[in-house]
Amino acid sequence: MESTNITFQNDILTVEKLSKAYNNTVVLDIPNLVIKRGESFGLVGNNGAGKTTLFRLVLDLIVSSSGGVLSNGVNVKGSELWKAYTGSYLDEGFLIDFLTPEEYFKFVASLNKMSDGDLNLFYERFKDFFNDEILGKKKYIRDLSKGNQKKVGIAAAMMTHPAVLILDEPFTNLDPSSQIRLKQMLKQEQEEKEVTMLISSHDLNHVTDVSKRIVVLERGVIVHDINTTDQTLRDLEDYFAAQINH
Amino acid sequence: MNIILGIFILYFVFVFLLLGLFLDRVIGEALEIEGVDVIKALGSWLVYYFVVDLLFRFLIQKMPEMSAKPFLLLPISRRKLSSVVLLQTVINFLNLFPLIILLPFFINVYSSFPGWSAFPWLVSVISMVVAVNLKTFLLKRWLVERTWLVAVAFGVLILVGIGDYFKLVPIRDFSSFIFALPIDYPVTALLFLMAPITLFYYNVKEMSSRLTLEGTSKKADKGISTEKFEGLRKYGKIGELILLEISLIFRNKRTKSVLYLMPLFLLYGFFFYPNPMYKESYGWLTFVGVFISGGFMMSYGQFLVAWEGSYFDAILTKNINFEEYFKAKYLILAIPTVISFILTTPYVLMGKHLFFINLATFIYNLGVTVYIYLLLAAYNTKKVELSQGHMMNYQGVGAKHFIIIIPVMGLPILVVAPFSLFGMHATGLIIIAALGVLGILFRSFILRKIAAFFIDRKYALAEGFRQPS
Repeated sequence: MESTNITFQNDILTVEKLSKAYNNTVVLDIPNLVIKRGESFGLVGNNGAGKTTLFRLVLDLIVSSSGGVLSNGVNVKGSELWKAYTGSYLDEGFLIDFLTPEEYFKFVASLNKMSDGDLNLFYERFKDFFNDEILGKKKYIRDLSKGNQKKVGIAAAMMTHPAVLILDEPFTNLDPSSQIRLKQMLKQEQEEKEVTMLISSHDLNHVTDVSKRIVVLERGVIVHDINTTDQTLRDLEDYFAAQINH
Repeated sequence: MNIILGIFILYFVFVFLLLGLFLDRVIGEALEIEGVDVIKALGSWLVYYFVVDLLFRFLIQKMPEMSAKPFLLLPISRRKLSSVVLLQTVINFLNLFPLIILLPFFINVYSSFPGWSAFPWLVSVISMVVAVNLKTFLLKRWLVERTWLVAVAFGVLILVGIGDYFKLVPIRDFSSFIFALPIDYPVTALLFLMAPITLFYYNVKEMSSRLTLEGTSKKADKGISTEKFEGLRKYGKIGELILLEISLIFRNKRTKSVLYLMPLFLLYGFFFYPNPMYKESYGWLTFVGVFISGGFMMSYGQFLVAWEGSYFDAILTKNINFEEYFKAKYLILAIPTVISFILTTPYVLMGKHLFFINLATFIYNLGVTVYIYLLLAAYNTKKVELSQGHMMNYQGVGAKHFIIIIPVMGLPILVVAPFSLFGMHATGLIIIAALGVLGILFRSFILRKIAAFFIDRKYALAEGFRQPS
């Protein structure tokens, strides 16, 4: 899925007047947000801030209460075009647990017309990340540890070099070395392939390391939208520390 | 939900009770015999009853070791635990049903028994019921490594059944002989009693040796290899989706047990075809026809998409579009239907008109019934827990699953029966076959419409599937 036959706009993701409410409680309200091609976009916020809701709206998994998300200029609701260049992993609901990891990867590969050669390159690329615990073990995904399941999900999202990559808290449940490897791979993907990345995390350290732009959500509303600098980590820590004193 | 279940059970109890009360009279008048001959006549059918019972239990009965699991850490010897658990499964609900028929019958014919053979006969029959129950467990354990044998056993059973129908294989005489023994020689009842006792002993032996904490959890299937289906990959996305569904069916308890139900649907004809009352009733035969080729479509199809509830988000976000998804679903329902039809062509030996009815209903299934189930799938908002085995698990069943039967069965019967009343049998059949052909010809169009409808429903489905079950 080298998205070569699609021309991408510079404003690859546009959020317009987007809101989501459950039972009269507004959980997300974003009047405007534009993400540019190749941007590495980090999303932080406490639980319930609306991070997963936003991602679900971008992936057309839930219906908005108002407004919508445009991917490459086309509303994600009512179009299946975005699936060809978007890789994502939000939770275990994205895994097919009765397949072995190899079968799952093969499945995703064939959906995206990846050749065997591409598949082998993928296995090479992720060899360190998998740390010899995932391939060749004849285990179904449901029998893997939570951390390894996550690795499979993240790998499957990344394997096709999608133009847009969406990961919800990818660092949680990964052991320290894997977290570092993942960061390296994400940064590499960014530099080499101009991938647009949307990554949410509870780990302020990781998210400032990987993302060049960080958006802070609080109770469904964007409260900060900044370009990452050396100062950002400290600013974020101060912000969240201040939350405790409410 | 349990109310519906309760109603069903009451209904069956009632029916069985009636059966038991009138069985002696039915047999007596049908065969124009009376007295002890009635009892012996029943005996000739008992072997069949027990074989079907064995089958039924094989598919539905839970293994006793499952109930033992919570008690494993208590200071009870494994043998004792096995015996108690086993006893519990024998004295269970399902075992009451044969008694509901048997006891009224027994009371009615009590006076016809020569000498003191009455109770020995009763004991013999009940012993066999229990024996079948116990034998099922032994068979299930033995066959778990050799599932292909089940298919072979099936084939043999069907052949023997047909053979007996044409009086080539004397099964009924054999059965008659066996169950006449306790009547003529009451002492033989002791032999019958030996059966459940020895089977009980063997069961306890097997169970106690396997009763470890690991032994009770089902061993991971030795990687159910779907290698032989790998060839599907070359058919592009649709082939991949079909391959995925095959893996789904074979690697999860609940779906696998649906598959094991298939033989029952194929054999359904034997309940109706030999009976002169149904043999010429085209309305009934249409019902049977839909059931026979459409068994899989109905039992698997009713939870279509809901089976995949746990990874529905993956389906929605990966590079699959709904048209391809439904093309694959159509094939998944259609191919077993074709296989079912082919396997049941031998029914033609029981009557030429049966073949044509089944052919018409088969085409109808491929062109109408299948779409009904594809549409029903858009309303299955509860994901089905794949790891809970056995079809008697009613999780996920709602009123809609029963109501759906009305159009599925009702429509063809409503078309065929009226024409049949006027002797125009062929007309009714041709109409439903024509409907089926239309459905097949316009497949692409219809599937596209269904896909579009589904896209609107996908949010409700995804939301429903995300709820913990």
